[in-house]
Amino acid sequence: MSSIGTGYDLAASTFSPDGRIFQVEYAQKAVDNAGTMIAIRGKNGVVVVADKLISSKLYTDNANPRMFNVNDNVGVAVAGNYPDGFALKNYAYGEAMKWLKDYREPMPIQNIANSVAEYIHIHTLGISRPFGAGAFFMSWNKQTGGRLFLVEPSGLNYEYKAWAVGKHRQAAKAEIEKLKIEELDVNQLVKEAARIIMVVRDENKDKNVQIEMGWVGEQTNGKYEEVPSEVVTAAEEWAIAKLDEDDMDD
Amino acid sequence: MNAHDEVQRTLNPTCTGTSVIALQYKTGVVVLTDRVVSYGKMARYKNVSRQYKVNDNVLIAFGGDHADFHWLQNVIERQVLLWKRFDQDIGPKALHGYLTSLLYAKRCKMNPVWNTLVVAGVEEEEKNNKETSTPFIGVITQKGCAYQVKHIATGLGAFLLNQAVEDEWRKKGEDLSREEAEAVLRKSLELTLYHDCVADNEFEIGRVDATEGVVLGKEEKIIGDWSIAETNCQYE
Amino acid sequence: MFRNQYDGDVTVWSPQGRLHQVEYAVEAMKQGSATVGIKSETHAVIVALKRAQNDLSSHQKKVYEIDTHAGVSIAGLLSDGRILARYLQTECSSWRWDYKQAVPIKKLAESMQLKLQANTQYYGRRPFGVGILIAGYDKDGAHIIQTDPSAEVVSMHGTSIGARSQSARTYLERNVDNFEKSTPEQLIVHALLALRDTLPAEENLNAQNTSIGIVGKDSPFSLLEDAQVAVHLNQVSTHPRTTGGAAAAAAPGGAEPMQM
Repeated sequence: MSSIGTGYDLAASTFSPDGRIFQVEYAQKAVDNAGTMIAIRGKNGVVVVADKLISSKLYTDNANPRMFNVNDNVGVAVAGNYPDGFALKNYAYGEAMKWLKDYREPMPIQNIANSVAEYIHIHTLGISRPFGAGAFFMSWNKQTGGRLFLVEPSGLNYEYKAWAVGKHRQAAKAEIEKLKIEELDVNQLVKEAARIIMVVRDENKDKNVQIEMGWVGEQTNGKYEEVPSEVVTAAEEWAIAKLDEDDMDD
Repeated sequence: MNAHDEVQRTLNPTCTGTSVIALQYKTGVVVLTDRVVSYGKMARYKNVSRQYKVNDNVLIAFGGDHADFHWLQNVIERQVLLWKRFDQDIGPKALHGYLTSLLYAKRCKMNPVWNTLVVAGVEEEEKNNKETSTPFIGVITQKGCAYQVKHIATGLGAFLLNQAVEDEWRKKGEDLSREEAEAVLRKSLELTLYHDCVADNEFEIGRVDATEGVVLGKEEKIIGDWSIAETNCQYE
Repeated sequence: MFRNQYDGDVTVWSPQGRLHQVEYAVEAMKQGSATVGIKSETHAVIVALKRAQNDLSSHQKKVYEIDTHAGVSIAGLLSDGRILARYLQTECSSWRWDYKQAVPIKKLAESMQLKLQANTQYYGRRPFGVGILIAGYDKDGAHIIQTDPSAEVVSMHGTSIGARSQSARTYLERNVDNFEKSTPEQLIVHALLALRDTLPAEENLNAQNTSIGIVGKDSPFSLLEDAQVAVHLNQVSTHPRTTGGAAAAAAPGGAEPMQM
């Protein structure tokens, strides 16, 4: 690839001679270099987990959360540049409010993801810089089951069974593929997700990290919620025991 | 302004509810509304509530136009979501303040919301500390005129009941128990029933209590004593 | 002169996925004289070090009340900071207009974050060259919110921003476990001790160059008068200065481009 120094990579409004938009690719780097985030759809719900760097004990508990409610039923988890992700979450929230005003019912997840994707896409046309953040959207209800979308800095929006973004996404995806996720209950998913986040960590570099989790499913009655801290702790303990066990086997 | 630019607005409410009666007791508020929707003076629909649970701390009851209130309900729902985003449950004081501004602004545009609202609830001074919670009743008229009270009767009830409720209130004041407060409401409804032709004998009593939160009422019915009808000269 | 071709504008990503202009704005914040904020269960305190241009000028104002339940202190370009303080004041008053009560601090943090973020994305603007600390008290208790030009807005037990603030943060990290149960007086002493660590050995805190703001349960935000500041400084002067705190932290060299 020829990008640096050619002058074709200084604005999102410029194509390179081989038809690429480098500014969008660079924005994607902001997501690729950020902490790992995994989302998995299981038998009866969707779980999302993120690895967060907590560089000082001066931060309050769960400072800078990456997961939010868009409305009661839909959760969003943002990866990449934090302020950009926060702005995306805010946009999604605003859209959901407008929908509620116009239709007097909560905005469906597909519409939320589409509308955020459109907003992100406008920022790839060159008027301003692209967003350096991506967003998972997740929901669950009896009729449709679990749903999981990822919107990327390019404006792409796909539905997934499971996906990983961030630093160790490749290793994480390989780990997810080993599981039969369709058969896993949300409580098992939480444990496996914690295990995967921990196993893909780089022991030398990833210090002072903390796990944040969100879920939506049958057990939350279709409401998206932050996973209670005691459940997260239990999942971490289970994961550590499991990892030790695997080490023994090796 | 040309004739075709003139804005046409609803000048009359259509489907309406009548009085709301509310009263504070020791640890909360009780609210009574009947369950009929009037179309003019016809009792058009039965079994319709005029109370809306906002969250665990706030209950709103209304008189006036049902359609306008349905619109307001959506406005309120969005306010609840807005506050949730900041980890807060909107309290009765804040909601009363907000609706006051809203109704006043609308009436200044000559497009009033045709409702009299009673915002009932308990105001939490501190989170997770019920000791500091206080009962709250706030009233807003369709003109945006707003005030806070210990007890209220709106609609035709305002002409008939305020003195009666006040008398009961003065006997015990802040120490009124929930049962006593509800008895006052039931007695008051009976009075409106005799005098207000659009009042109904099927009603509900909702409450907001510091410890229990919002409890929506069940459908109740009274007959009253109609022996006085014999002495009414207007009857044939 | 640019260091590379990706640092001229906030609307350009570098090949590594970084925003150089935003990072430079953070440097502007790091040059301003320091400010410290810490909180207990019931109170939040902000203290700030003021500079004077010369002997004849007054000290720059660094702490602002934004509502009865919140105040801010500033490090970086003070004129940018004043804009943000004014912005927060209008946020507070518009919430009061809507709801007849004080705005939740979390709402202020969110509005702040969105405002700062917009200045890192859209052409024709520059990021704010300033960091602010918000001290506030609401139904959720006391809060210290830290912001910086990159639009990172985060809730802290205690923190410091500005020149040599690493020394102050070192002090805070060592003592953070004591803050929660501290009295307001003790909090102020902790904050002043942390602030003092940002000073070179030959300088000291005095009533003219130090601002103290405090807010808490049943006590509205107040910016202390010089005489009251002096009382708290007396308390601090009995604590010996830690050598090496300020000296160990790398001080940015050279003349300062604007009054900070």
